[in-house]
Amino acid sequence: MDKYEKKILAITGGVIMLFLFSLLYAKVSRRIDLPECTPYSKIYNEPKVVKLDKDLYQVFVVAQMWQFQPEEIYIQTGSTVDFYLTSKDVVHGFNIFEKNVNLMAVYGGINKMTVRFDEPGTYHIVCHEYCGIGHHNMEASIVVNSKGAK
Amino acid sequence: MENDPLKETFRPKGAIAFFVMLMLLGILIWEGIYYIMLQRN
Repeated sequence: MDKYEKKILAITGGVIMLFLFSLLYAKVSRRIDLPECTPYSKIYNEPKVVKLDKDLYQVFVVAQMWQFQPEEIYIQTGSTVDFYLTSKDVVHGFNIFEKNVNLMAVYGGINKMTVRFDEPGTYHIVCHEYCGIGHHNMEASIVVNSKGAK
Repeated sequence: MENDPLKETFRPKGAIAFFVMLMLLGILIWEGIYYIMLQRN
């Protein structure tokens, strides 16, 4: 093998290792969650916010033409939220601004993702998958550190 | 042809430069998106 080929293979291997270690750091040290599918159950069809602990919530989000339910979610700063997402009709998107949440709401399927909200404020949720004539109005919000948070 | 001095001293400078720039650009784009992901966590 040519010496330049060896060097190129070594550099390429080093870059791949850099990427892999970066991903491991994000997953293990920073605990960045990845979306996952959970088995379907009818309990996810009912939109609700469940407070499991002082700073732990479960939010069951149901997307439908052209709204998310619940439309406003109130939580406290520093909370960890498990989102369970499904759809009543067509495929919708679920994107929280300034967060790593980018899910698809699919009829008959449940997508789950865990997010932590350390900064107070209002986080907007939008549908980013075209779902019909009212798509552009399909939004919701998460209010963090609200006095109304239960 | 086996003892061609040009072949023995040849160094693919253009290919090396292209490869290094390709790697740097790839790392820049990848790590840039990675940094955004860390910031949004």
